[in-house]
Amino acid sequence: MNRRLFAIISGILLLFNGLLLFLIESDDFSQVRHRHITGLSQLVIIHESLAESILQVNNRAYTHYDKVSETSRQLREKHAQLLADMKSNVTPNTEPFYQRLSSLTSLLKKELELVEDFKTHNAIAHNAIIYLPRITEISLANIPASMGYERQVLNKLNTQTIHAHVLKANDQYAHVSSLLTDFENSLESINDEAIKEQIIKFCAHNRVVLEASRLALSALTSYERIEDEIDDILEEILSDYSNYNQGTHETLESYKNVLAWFTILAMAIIILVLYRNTKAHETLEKEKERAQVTLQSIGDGVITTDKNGDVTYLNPVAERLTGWTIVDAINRPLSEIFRIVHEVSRKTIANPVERCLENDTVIHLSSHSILISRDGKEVAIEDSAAPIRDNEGKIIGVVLVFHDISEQNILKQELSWQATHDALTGLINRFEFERRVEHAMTTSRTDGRNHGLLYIDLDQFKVVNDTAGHIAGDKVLRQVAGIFNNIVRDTDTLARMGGDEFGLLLQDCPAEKALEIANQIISALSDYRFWWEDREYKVGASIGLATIDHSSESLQQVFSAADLACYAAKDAGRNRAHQYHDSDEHTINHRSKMEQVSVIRNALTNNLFVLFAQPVFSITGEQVTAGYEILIRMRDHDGNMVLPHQFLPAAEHFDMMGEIDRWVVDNTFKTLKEKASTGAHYFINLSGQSLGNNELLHYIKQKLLEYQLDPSEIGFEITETAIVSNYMNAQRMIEELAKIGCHFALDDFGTGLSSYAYLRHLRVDHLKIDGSFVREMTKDPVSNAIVRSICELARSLEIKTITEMVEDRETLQALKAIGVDYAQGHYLAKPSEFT
Amino acid sequence: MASMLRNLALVFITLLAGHLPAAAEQQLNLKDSPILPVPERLQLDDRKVDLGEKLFHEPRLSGYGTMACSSCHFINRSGDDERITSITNTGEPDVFNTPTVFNVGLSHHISWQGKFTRLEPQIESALTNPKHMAADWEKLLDFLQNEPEYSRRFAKIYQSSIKRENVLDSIAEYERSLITPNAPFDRWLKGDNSAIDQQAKEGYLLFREIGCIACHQGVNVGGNLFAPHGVFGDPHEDHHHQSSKEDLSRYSITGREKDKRVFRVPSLRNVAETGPWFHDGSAEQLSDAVLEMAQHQLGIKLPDDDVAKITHFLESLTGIYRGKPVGDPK
Repeated sequence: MNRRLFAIISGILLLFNGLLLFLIESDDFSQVRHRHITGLSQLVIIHESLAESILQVNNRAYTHYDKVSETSRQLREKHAQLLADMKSNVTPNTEPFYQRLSSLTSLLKKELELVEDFKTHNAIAHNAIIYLPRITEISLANIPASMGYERQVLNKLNTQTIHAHVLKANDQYAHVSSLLTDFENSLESINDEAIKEQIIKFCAHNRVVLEASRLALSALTSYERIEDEIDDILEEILSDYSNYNQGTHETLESYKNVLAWFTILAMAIIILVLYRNTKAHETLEKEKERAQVTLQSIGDGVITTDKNGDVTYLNPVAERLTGWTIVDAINRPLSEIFRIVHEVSRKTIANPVERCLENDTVIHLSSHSILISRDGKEVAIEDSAAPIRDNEGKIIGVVLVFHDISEQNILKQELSWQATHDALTGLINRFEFERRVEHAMTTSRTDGRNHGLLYIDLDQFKVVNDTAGHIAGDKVLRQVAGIFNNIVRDTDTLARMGGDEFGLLLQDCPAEKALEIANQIISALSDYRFWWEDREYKVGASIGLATIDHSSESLQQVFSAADLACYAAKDAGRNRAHQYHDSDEHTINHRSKMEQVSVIRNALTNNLFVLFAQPVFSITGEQVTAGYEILIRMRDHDGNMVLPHQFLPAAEHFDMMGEIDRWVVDNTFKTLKEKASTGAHYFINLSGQSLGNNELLHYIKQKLLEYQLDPSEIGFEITETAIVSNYMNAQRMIEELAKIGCHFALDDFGTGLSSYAYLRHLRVDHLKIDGSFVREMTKDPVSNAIVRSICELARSLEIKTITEMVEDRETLQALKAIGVDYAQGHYLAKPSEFT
Repeated sequence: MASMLRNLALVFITLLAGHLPAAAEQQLNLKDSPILPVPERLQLDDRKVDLGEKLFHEPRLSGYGTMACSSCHFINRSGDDERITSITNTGEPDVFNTPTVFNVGLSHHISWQGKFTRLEPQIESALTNPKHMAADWEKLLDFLQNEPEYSRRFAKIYQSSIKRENVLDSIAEYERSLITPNAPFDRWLKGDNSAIDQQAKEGYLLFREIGCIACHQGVNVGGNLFAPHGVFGDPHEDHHHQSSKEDLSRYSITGREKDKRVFRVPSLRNVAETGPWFHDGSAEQLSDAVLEMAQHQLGIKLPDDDVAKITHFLESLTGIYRGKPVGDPK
């Protein structure tokens, strides 16, 4: 029977093999497509980061274009590479697809040209505007006080030009430009040539600013349009690919069906043939032969005896384990061949065959038996004995089956090896590594020994994985593990922690030595090159070092210290080692970002957030408190207050701002309900994430009803960037809440992109000028001019202005002189707990 | 009028000097600095760098066997040819001043017109330009293949017969290795307050405050964007630029009207050593170049004191190559 089964199974396997082969082949096929899709996705990402890097340089006085240039280069090269790959490989073979590819090429070219134009004009605008306030000063110094009108116009033009540049509004350029022309035309009446010349120079300087700013804006606007188009096209190309995949997937399916039917047919034929075979030729002889063949090939030792317990048969495994050959053993009593003792007591164990014959049942032996072979070797075995009966059920013998459990022990060990090791590199795994580090910590505590823990994170490994594929990536990991292994000392423990991270425990190793080893690793890697399909790859390593000594608190603390140090090394520019220090500002900051998630979660559930309020003063007349900005703090486990900049970025990163905003709204309202109304406004900051959906709007409305508050006491601060990215929702929210009386302030005003255009369409009643301008305004004429021009703009739109970060008397005086409506800052009043 | 200007500038400098200690003493936050230090070392393939170095100095690559890359880029000096403009293989002056090859790998746009964004095509262009190296690829590859030293080294590195792209690759890798870190100014950026003197610090502040920094920024203090030569007036009209018959600006390669007079903003790394200055080598003194830039790019008539300060700051941008400052003849 076994053989028949075997034949059937192999038949099936054969067919499945064919099927698998087909699938594997088609995998190759889809690999190319996968590569293209990955490439396209990378293009999308680079494209996005280009936009980001451009926003970063826009409107900043001191900046550099390295990042923009570098991203442009990446975009250009990735596109070229992808295109070349697509040309030489399968792509969706449709006309629209090729059209999209070619328009992508031309759009990208155009986009990069616009980026260059933007850089050029942005730079010119900046270098012209940096000097504009000084040109104004110089001009004013040259114009006598008697020419009051000219002096006034000059001053106004200076402000207006900066205003136009900051707000980047097209009508503003035209407006200022016409003012300049008017001014130039009015100069004929001036007789003093020197003054005239000075004013003409002043006007020319203004024109350069306006023109460059206008060209920069126009390049930026065109860029944004093209950027959108490219996004759409990339999306279409990607969807071409996914449809294409689906298409081939369907073909694949039908092939599979055919093959499945074919398999079933083949199986039926095989069964039929075998069945006829058995019917016609089956004989006892053959059956016996088959049984012996089976016994010969199985992995267990088999001994059969007759009903007296004398050996009739030994299979090869039994021969090996007992040390007896079948020739020698036949007809000898089993007890002679099969000598077993107890593992521990060494007492002879009663012969299972005898017991089986006596009891007429299957006998199982305990697993503690040791088989002593003919030449005295000992093997741990596990065995069982079963009676053999004839057709009438009479016992005619016993079959003893046993197997080497020492081999199983090896298997067990293997299993445990697998549990403690990383299969890819053969290094120990994270679990085992932690165990060993824990042990090392114990020796530190008890014997005062110092060890080093290195956390090694490969740099640029992702590049290999992404471009050359996982097989190549795995190869690199193995090779890198080999390189590390050559460097570490015999007493050290190297482990793969997962992904491209390795851990190294350095036994009895002072920090200096550990750093030395870390640097050896880095330099060994710097010589390492990996070749894959004619391309060369390099990987580097960032290494974090934490020391393990008697003061090490916990496994988690040591690991996170090494991890943080590793992040610090990465941040410092990769390919370097960094040692963890408690006082390390950098690592502390990083910790806040990594661990904050659970801390924030905890703070939300356990109400550990605290509200603070900073008074906002009216400064136009008598200085009185007009309102408060509600701020959030978090109490950490030591009861210290954590400032928002330490946890909000993490909350934002992990999409928790919505919850935090709701918490702030709820608790502010709750507190306000218990306060007597003073007519002051309370401003709550809303995040961009909250603006992304309508949930918060409903929440606020519902809470206003619940606490029965006067909506006109409530204001919300929204940043320009949050509005820009959620424009529709933000507009709706502002409309709806403004309708019932809530106030809105546009936060961080002046740092955004196209403020003026948005401003006219939003029902905001306050503008909050970005603190960076306010802080600098007494030192930096450009900042001063920006604050002034924002105020003028706000006034023309009948919007009140608020300034933050007022930190000294001079600034307050300057703000009052400009005519800012409200001010807040440490100089005026620090935030205090809001109760 | 001039004295008024000087007085104002004086006030301005005193004002700035007030900020100086703060700016200098607190470790400058490099993240916010518009100028970044040159990295001290790059990850490069040393074998390729060595081979590239040999090729860079190999006159037999050229069509007449007389000219190597190093004929116009003196590595042991300042990486350029110290001439007003480069010369052709017949000894005639060509149109452009030779840019230095130092730190060229850190530039995003290469050549005065920004013709290239990668090193390899630039190298190829110089190699095959009939006025310069006039190389013929077929002969060049033949020569290399038949030269045991080269064929052995190429085979070892590239595991293939000598190919065009491999020749370019190794020269490019060598050029990438030509970085000049640890200029006094970079050391100051990284926190060594005594690396540059007070005059250079004041020069840097001026460089920032009058607007030079808007174009000359990034790790290479330029080299990453284009700008029209002459924002305030045309330097050709009222200066000593020779009006060449050819249009040398970016217009000549793009044909876009708006690219007339536009050039790549050059890197100012090692600028004190790479005179004469400008695309046509028309400025004999670095101070002339500073003066002209201020006048036509920023619309400022810079007083001599300020020119001296900025010039002094520019001198602090001279970095170290193989242990000695760039341009040092020793």
